[in-house]
Amino acid sequence: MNHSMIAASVSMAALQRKLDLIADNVANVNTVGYKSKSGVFEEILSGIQPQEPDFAREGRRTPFGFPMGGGARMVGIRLDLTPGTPQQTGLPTDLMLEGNGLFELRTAEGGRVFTRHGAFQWQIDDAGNRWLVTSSGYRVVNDDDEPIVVPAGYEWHVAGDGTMTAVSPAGDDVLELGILKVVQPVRADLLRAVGDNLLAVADGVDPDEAVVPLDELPAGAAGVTVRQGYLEASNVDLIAEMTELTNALRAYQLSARALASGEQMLQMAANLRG
Amino acid sequence: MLAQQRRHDAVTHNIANLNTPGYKAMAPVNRAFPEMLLAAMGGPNPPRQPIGPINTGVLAEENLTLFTQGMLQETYRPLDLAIVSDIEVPGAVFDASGKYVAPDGTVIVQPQVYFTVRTPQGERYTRDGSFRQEPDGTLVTFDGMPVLGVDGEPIVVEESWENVRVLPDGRLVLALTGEPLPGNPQLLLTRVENPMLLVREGDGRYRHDGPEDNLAPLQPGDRAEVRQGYLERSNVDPAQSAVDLMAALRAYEANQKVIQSYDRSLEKAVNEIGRV
Repeated sequence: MNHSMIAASVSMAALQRKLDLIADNVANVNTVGYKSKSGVFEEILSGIQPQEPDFAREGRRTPFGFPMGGGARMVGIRLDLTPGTPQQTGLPTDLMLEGNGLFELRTAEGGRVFTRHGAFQWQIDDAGNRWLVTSSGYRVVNDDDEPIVVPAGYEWHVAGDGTMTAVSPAGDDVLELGILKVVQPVRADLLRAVGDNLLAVADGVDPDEAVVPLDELPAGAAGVTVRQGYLEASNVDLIAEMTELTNALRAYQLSARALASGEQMLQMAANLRG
Repeated sequence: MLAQQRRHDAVTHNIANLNTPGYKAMAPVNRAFPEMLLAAMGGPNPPRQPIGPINTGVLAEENLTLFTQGMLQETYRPLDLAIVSDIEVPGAVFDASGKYVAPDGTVIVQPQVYFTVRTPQGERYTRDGSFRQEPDGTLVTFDGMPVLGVDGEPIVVEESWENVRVLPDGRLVLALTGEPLPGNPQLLLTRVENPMLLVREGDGRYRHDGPEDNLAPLQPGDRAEVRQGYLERSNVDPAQSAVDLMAALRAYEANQKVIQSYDRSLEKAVNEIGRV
């Protein structure tokens, strides 16, 4: 393998990863609350070929050494947290956050995860009470970090600022259920997608560094509204993804062309003598 | 053949980085080996003077970097920054490749402007503005190198970057009010007079290998600015690269044929003419 072939094949591997990310985005174009991903690329330098100082000739402009390129690699994956458009569903358990915020959930072990995916459901316990959970069973919490429980038959309302009430069927008994906990990501870079449309912080990072409850922010809950009966569409921009796909394909094609060309050179060198 | 191989390798590297932000194309330069003088020997009437010079081949001498401005791509991310630079030098009109050849033969290369980052090996320069923010607020490149401000220290911003606006001269202010952030942070934009003295180090960063006075912070009045929400695309021309690939391949092939024909004439000389 000569140098061109190595560089071209490394770049094709990186482009393959980029294509995988684009495919993931396009597959989730209709997933509620999905946040699109993109890759960050950098060039690889395979080394600088040393040149002796007596290599200097008149008219030379650069310092000694011949840099040899090694292609490109993907350095990291970026999560795009811009909000998606609202879709009205009419279901009382479908919630959407307008503005920069996340719902907070508790896993079975008590871990904190966050999501924009507001398509919640009721989980009915033995007493007939209904607990607000996600489709995977994670409990939605309120400002006091308590799960949200509504007695059977009661109608559940969420106001724009997150205040929750449950009204009895006869309309005479109104329960105050606290305020829905909404947090704002202040360090979006610390959040990672962990599957099932959930966001969590990496191991060792304190969630309080990445997200802050709305009532602790200087502006308070300003700018974030809870909408009941709506869902947030995914923020994948299909046109942008298609353009990126075409770019990636063309770059892949050119790299493959360079690989074939490098292989031909190797063949010529091998056939130098018969 | 080796020179063509180097050229092919450089074009392959350019093609691989077609979409890398801030990438500057490589352009290898060939140089002829010193010429040798041919003289006639033997024969009935040898001429008095030598016949003339003969060229003895080329070598790949240096791998230049093409410092032309890449196009800007809007990404709408507040952490993406791009430098647009078109520095003026009095008396010089730069051509498409960033050079000016004065009537007396001196070559002036257009000065370029870079972000300054700190790596464990020292200060480095880059045009790739796809930055991110560490948990403690430090502005870093995507692989974790802190970006320096005019005070020589890494830029630390406690706010979420959604609320920060970067002014064209590199100062950071609050997006809503326009007030400078605490500490008056300002990005250190380094102006490199002769960018040819920058050595490529990989990951989009360059090391400076020249006299101290080649570097200076950007002065007000210099024609360069920072744009927030944009990334500078690579300056590689894919069509030209595809053509260069083919040209290098065919030149390689032509040289291969030359070697083969030398080989055959040597074979004749050794095996047929000089048969013992």
